[in-house]
Amino acid sequence: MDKNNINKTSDLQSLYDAKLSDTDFDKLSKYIQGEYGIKMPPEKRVMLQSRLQKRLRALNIASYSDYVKYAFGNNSSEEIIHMIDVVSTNKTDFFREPSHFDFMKNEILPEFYANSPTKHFKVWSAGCSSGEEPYTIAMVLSEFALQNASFDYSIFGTDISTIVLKKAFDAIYPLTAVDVVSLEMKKKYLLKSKKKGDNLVRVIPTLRNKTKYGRLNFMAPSYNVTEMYDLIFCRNVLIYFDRDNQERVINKLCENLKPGGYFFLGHSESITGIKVPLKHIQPTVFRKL
Amino acid sequence: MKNKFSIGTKLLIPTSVVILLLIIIMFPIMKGLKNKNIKTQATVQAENVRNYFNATISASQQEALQISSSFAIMKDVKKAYSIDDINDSKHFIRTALSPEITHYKNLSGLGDDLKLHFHTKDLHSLWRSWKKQGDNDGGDDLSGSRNSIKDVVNTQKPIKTIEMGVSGFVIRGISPIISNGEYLGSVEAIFTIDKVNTQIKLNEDENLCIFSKIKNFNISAGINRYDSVGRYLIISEKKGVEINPELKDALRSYDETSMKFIKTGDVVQFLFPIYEYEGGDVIAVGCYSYNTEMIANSILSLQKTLLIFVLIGLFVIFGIIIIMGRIAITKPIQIINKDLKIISDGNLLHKMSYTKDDELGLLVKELSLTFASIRKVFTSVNKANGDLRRASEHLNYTSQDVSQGASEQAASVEEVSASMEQMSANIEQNVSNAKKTEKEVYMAAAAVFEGNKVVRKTTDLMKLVSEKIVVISEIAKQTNILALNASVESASAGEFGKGFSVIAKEIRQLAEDTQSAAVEIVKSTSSGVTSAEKAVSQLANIIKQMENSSEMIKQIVVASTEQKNGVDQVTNGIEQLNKITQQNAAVAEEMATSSEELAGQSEALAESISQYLFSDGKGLNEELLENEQEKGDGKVVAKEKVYKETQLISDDKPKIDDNTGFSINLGKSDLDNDNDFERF
Ligand SMILES: C[S@@+](CC[C@H](N)C(=O)[O-])C[C@H]1O[C@@H](n2cnc3c(N)ncnc32)[C@H](O)[C@@H]1O
Repeated sequence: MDKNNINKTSDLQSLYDAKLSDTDFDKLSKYIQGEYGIKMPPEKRVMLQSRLQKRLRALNIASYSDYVKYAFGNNSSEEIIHMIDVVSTNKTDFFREPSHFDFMKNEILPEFYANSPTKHFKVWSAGCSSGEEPYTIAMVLSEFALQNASFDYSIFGTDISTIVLKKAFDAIYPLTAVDVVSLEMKKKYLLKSKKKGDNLVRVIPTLRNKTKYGRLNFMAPSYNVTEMYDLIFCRNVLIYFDRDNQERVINKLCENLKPGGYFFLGHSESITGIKVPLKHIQPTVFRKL
Repeated sequence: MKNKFSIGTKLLIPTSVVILLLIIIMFPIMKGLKNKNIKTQATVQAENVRNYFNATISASQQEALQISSSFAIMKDVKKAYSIDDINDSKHFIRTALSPEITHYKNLSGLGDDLKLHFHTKDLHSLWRSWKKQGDNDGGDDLSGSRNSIKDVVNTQKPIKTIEMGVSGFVIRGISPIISNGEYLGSVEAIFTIDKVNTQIKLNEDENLCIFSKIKNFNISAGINRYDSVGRYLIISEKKGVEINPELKDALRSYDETSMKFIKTGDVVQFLFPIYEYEGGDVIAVGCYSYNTEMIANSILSLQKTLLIFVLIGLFVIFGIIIIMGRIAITKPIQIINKDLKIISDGNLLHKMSYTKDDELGLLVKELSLTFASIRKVFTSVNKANGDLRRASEHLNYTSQDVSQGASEQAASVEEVSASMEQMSANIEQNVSNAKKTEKEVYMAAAAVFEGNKVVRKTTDLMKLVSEKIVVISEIAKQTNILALNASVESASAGEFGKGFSVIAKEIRQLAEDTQSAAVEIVKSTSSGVTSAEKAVSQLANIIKQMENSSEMIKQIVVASTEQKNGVDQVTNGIEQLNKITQQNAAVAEEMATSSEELAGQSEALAESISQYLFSDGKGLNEELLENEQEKGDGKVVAKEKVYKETQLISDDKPKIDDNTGFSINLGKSDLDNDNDFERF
């Protein structure tokens, strides 16, 4: 028992000392950018190394070269999933970039409500991360539904990382994450943990039931998504992609966007210089031609 | 427990081995001892026999001497010598000494073996007491026969001798007969060695024989009757002493001084010299034989009994060792062991029950002290470990928080970094767009400039047209007047001029039309000219504005380029920050893992000492339990969290092919009820 502990400690030490070599980095970065679109220039070596360290520890592998061998070996499709879990950046927040939600509430929804015969509003949160974005959308849409009879909605969230998808599915967040949500909305749409020390919140089942999640790689040749959407959120995903891939992904997403449907990009993203079937409405807000 | 032998066995085994070795070594030693014993015993015996033999001979000689000297001083003897006639003298002695002789015969117990021989001073035999009258009982010359008689004549001193005769050794004591200082002759008392033989008591296994030296042998006794070995005649055999070759060799080489030892099989023999008289010549060699078979056997049986006794003694000693070992060592050790077992099972408070003052007691005392200090150490280790546990758990929570925060921060920074890069790319895009626009504006301005030129030319042309039109208008006016005139003329021309009047009217109409058209043209040309002139000035304006725009776009390009540089620098900075943040996140994670590890180790330590009872009758487990209860619920949840995460990694395996889009079934959440949550 004691021996094991000692070994483990020394293993940990060697793990902390391990370095990602240039060749291994090249291999990994080519693979990640090629298969998942995420840019991995040499400046990201330290980042990649520190993110993969988690995997080395989980697998009890002491060196990055061994890890690369393992990850690229046979029967490694599972490890690739875990690798992408740690390699992807999943930063997100409730009510992140609020102008989009205002625009949706004030412009898109009234117009949709006036014109749509079904009054069922479909949103795709592409790159939904841990679910904050889809649940924010759900709250806003739910608010709209309260004021507009027979309005209904559904939200589809996709991401490449299984860890964040699981979080989105569970819909449990630290209390601090919902600081930006108004108290009124919190009361309506969130539950808080009974145990005092936990400081957790959970999205109410009603909203959870409006959402559906799936794992989707934007770099896939075909998405297998059959629905057509009224609005696509694709925010802060394409910043990790190069321009060619940005163009490809937006075009692909637009295949599932209804004509006249809206498309939101992240605050620093734009479609200048790329060919997509989108009309600029206002910064980061676009409409399908 | 590798060694399954008990202490008793451990004592027994070496002891047995030593004894076995002893026995093995003892056998040859005993054999040697036996041989040595036999030799010494035989030697002693031989010595005894020799001494006894010599003593006997000596005593016999002494007796013979005494008898002879007794006779030498007898008056009747002296008287007999004073008788001149030999026969008378002989006769006198025979008669006179007869009672004396009988008396000595009886006294000495020799009986007829005692013989007396009287010699004259001229070395003739006077009378032999053992001979019958007339049967060579005296008178013969002795001068050639024996030196001893001559010696007596010469020295006038008594002499004792021994010599071999037909019937064995002959002991002689010769005393001079002296009367008034005058030497008269000598008297000799004689008896044979057979007497000696009977006097020396020998056992069955002993034997004594005597070998006479040939040169000393009384020839008259008949040398031919005996076998000889070298210098010796083999006489006085007793009960078939085997004259084996070894004995013969020994005899041949015998130096006639010391005792000589010969061993032939079980028989040992000693040769010793027999002297004529003390200080005299060696006249014979005695041989003492001793059959050692019997004593060898007796020694052997003695040794056997000894061995048996030794063995029995050893077994008794073994038994005692085992029993003593059990009483003095094994039993107390068992008692101590029982106590130690209780202690090693974890009850460090247990008191050892062995209290005797022996070495084991001391050991127990030392052990008790040791356990006391171990108890102390355990108590402080336990306390320290409790602190360590609390500290490491706290560290664990905090470092998990830090780690969580760090990785969130890292993600944010990475996001910012990516955004900045994207912005930089966007700006670059803007710059190139602006550059393109600037070029287009420039080209448009050039086109406008060209257009302006054309418009100006057109204006000039229009002015020209306008002038020309005025001429046309004049002509039309004149034509009108002319036509009017003509119609007036034609009206006056009557029917004849009727046709012409129609034409004149037509012409007039045309002239009027022309004039009004000309007026119209002049009007519009002049307004065209004005607007063309306006356009020219406006185009010039536009060109100026376009030039301005171009200039401004140029400025935009410059500014944007500067902006991009700025953004790039920020991006660089953020990338640096990103690196550090990512590293920090990893380090924080390391810290979290390490502290978890630390907590785990402390827990393991606690667990390994928890089985000991070392303070207030309370095990560590119970103390820990208390700690945990104190800690409250936070810890349990933290554990659950970890559990969930690992579960996700191991159980949640979406089988996907990342090249065919999406397909995932997260299944039912393991948290599909909200029991742990409530409304805000
Ligand atoms: C920074 S998050 C954006 C979250 C959310 N849209 C927001 O703006 O708050 C980017 C997400 O894109 C996902 N992503 C990155 N590459 C992807 C790919 N090739 N296919 C699908 N999702 C990807 C990441 O897993 C990550 O969760």
